[in-house]
Amino acid sequence: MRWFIALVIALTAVVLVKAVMDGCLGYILTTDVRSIAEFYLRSTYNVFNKTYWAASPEAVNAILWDYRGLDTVYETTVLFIALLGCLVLATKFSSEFMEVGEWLTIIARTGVKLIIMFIAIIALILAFKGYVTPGGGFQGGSAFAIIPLLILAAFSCKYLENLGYRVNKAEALRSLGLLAIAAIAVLPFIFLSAYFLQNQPKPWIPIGIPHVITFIYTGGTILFYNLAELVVVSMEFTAIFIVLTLLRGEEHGGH
Amino acid sequence: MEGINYLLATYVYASLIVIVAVAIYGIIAKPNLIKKVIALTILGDTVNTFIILIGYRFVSKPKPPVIPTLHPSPEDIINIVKNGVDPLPQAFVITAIVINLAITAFLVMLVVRIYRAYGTLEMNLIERRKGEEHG
Repeated sequence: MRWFIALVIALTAVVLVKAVMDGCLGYILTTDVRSIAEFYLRSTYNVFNKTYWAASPEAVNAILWDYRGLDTVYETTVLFIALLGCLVLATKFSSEFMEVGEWLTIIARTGVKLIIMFIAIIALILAFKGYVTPGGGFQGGSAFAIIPLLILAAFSCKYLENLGYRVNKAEALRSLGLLAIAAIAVLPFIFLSAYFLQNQPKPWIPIGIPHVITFIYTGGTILFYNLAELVVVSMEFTAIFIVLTLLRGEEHGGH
Repeated sequence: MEGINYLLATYVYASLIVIVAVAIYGIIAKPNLIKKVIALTILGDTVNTFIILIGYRFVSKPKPPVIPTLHPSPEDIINIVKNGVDPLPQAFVITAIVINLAITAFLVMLVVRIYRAYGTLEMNLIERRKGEEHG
């Protein structure tokens, strides 16, 4: 058994080294990018030729929600189904609330309260400005999900519930976010015969949200997708954290 | 400059391959299920780093794929096309990270269920208790 394990690991290492040296995992030490990356970099915020632009100075968000939006839609679907599986597996969680961090001092709790504020600000900035600076809905949502985790660690699940965080509520908010994403993506496609996930008006289909509303830059639909995704991701992970904490309180039924 | 770049790239790739080997060792050899899950997350993160490295660009001043102004001049766009790193792997890695998180949560739930049923997370003990139940 031990020899088998050693053999598998050695084989993996050898294959990976060979693959890297042959350039199978991508070009090493290249000074060029692929032509498709060049296309994205050139056209994502090309104010001089707006045929294929996404109105987002950040190319990653433009790819996520415009050029390769279908990928993100299916990824959100995977996330949805995975969390559904988690909640189905955790049907029998106890309703007794564990007092997790009851022994923590007042210093730790005040510190957590202060930090929570900054985390909320950072998460909102990440999501709101995702189309101009590095960031976006996923990053903002993941940062926001730290807040319930910190509250769970420093206070208790009961405290979190009193603040209004509940599994049902988180699920409802998450579904609302998913519905918002679906509405922005599908409704123009059905009623206005635009493209699925269309962001900026194309010369042959002039449908889209303007990229500047008075003085606010929206990046077309990207801002709204990011906000919806912030709600979706943060609420998903809130639900998972609450369910996992409640599961900890239960005795195992076997042996 | 070229030599230093080559050395650095070799170092990064070599360490990534070592981490992949360690992660696969953890998945195969560790009997504890939580340790297997941790090794799986390490493997996923290492593969993500591989993918990010594919998009890296060894020019003298590589730029993130972000145009730094809301009113760009043609020079800004030419500059970002010439020096920006590949945004496509980064977008894919975001997708991969989120799916990784979801799958990890699902696996942790499964581990919790196994712990409830058998009272342990060691694979060999679980096998033995399964045998006792059936035999």
